[in-house]
Amino acid sequence: MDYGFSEEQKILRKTARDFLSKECPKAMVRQMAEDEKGYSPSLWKKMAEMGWLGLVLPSEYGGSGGSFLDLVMLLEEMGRVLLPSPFSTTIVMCGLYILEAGNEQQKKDILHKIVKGEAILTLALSEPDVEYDPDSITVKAVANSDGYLINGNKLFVPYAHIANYLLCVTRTGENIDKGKGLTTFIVDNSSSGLNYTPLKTLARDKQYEVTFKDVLIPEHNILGDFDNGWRDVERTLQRATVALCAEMNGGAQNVLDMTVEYAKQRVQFDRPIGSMQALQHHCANIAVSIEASRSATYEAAWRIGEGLPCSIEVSMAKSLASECYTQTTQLSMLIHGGVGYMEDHDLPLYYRQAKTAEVTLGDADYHREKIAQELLD
Amino acid sequence: MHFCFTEEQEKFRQEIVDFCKAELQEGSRTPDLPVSFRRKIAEKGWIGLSIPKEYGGQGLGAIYRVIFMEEMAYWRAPIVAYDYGVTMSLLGNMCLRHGSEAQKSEYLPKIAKGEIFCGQGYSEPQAGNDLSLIQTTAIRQDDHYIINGQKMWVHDAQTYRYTLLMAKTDITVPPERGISLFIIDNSSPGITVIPQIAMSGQTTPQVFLDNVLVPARNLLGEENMGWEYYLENKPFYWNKEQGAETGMMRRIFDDIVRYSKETKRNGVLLSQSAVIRQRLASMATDIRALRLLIYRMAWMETKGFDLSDIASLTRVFHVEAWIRFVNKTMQLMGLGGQLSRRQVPAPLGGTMEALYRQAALQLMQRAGPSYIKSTIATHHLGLPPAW
Repeated sequence: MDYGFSEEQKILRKTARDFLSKECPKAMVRQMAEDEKGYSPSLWKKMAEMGWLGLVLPSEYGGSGGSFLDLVMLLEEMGRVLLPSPFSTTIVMCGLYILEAGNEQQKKDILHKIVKGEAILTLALSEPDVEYDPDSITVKAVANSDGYLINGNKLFVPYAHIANYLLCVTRTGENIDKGKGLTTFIVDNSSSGLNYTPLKTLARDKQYEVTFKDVLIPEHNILGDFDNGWRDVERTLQRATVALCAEMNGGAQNVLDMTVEYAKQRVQFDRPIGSMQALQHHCANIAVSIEASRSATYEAAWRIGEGLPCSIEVSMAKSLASECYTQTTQLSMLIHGGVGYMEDHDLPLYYRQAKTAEVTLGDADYHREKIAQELLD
Repeated sequence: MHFCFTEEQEKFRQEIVDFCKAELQEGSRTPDLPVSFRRKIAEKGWIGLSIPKEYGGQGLGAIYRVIFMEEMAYWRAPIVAYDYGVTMSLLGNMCLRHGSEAQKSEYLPKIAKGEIFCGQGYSEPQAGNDLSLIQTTAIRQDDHYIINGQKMWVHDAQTYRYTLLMAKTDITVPPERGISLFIIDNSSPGITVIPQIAMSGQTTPQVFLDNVLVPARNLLGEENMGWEYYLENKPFYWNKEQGAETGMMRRIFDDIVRYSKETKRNGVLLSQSAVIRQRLASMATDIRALRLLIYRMAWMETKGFDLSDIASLTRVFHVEAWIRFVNKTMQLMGLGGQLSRRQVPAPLGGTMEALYRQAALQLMQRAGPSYIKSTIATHHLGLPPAW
């Protein structure tokens, strides 16, 4: 057993914290909420130069072959400052998916571009009536003489409008067995028949409805196994979930730090409000829940990196992180009072983000049911 | 980071599991079992596993200690937290860190052999969470101390041979600088033990000390350093017990899972009820998180890190998880949960009725969660103190 970080990981964290505190002030976060692109291309370029976009990709594709835990450390720092960027969608949801399931050509074509910051990718999975259940997926891909025609609607696709490629999970066959009959296609954004509609959301992040109308995709753009793509999607979702947990833990930690700072300064009834036990206990409760959540996230991340079975650990991490982050922002609101409710304060940014993150990739109830399936069925 | 046991740790864990399976079969739980079982684990060197080799132990690190406690509790070995844990984490640990050479050679080998047990004599009627208020005094006279006072909640003072007693040796200075610790033989003249029966069925006696003569060589470490030793030792004390608690939770959880797969209520298997599935999953999550915290704390101990923050955070999580755990378990068993041991149709043999009573202890012993939350707020988060 070893619960410590390596020297390299400590350096990575410190570098990331310094870099992001300079490059990602809250003014930038607010600006990106209004911005059409929703991320800063110049910052993206700098992230590529820092080596972050290739951190977990192997050297043969230009990356540096870091571990999944390294990535989690970086994501924790990104979550801390609420970095608006398609990092997690590009790297975790798509880059690692292609690395694991793609053929050599696909990997060569796309991974190099990702590492250099020349390609942004996203995953088109959810649908109007589907969250994360494979058997309900209805967007269809039907073979014709030139390839496959995709038709249907995908919802909550992050950064779809700027993505060079969408990885679209489609139904290609009957669901005779759980997760069967699904195939993922690499969809080039220049394909005709794609239509993007922005969704107005709580966190003012970039999520889109994507309509596929007779979108023709060549056969060589099939990612992974035909009719048997869910296995890879499932692993992708596990990685994406843990990545999200890391961002959530980073965000929660920052909210706690802000709150403690405020509680030390704010004087009411002749003393700092942080000296009052009711508020002290709220802060202590937050600290305890972050500690538990972070421990579970690290364990899940480690298991992913080691290639060990991890579905229970991933679900535990997400159920803890989901409850921790939302509760943290709510207790922080309570302690800040009116000032924290004002849009020019930083807290609303976290308050919005926490709820979005809680429901994204399954909330606590969803993951507890997954745990129950593993334990009881 | 590495979240699995090393090969050696896993081998150690498996050895305990095999041993417990062999020794604790159906029908083996006779009244003499605790004595023979203790002798056997002493022979294995497990009681003294964290005592250095020169004092008859094995010199193994904190992670082994937690593994041992966890597995012994999981298999419901008749020794766990009280005897072994309290003695080792109090007298054993304090002796190791601060005891004289004579004290180390006298007590440690006997602890390792499972021959002596030592309880804690800290609290008093006026001194609960705030131990600086203790009034028991120890006055030096030649090569003895004369001790007078009253102690509360002294572990098994009627059966254990020793108590580690906290007393004031200097009343002219602030309490934190005038407190010392003594190893007291419970059979000394002047000691009166008045048993009190707790809701759990355990006895936690009051102890009256009337001019008790204690040899000066029984002063642990240096005079007036007791408060420092006490603060330093707290995390070890908590961690030891948490290993056992986690093992116990794991065991009950496994039993409950089996029970809910076999039991129908109102025509539906419990394991197929959406609400119960949610509860079981959150119990499993609590256990996992608690295990991660206690093993991390043990790992930090082996690395020599300061444990005060992690100990407080873990302790709060532990108490709250344990209360959630007994509540959910009782809810799950419905009416049957209230049935006592040996009441024939009691689910899980009536274990939960007893554990539910015992669980209340978590809300107060070794400093209650409210007190620890205040400690987290001030020490860990740096908020201004409330008092």
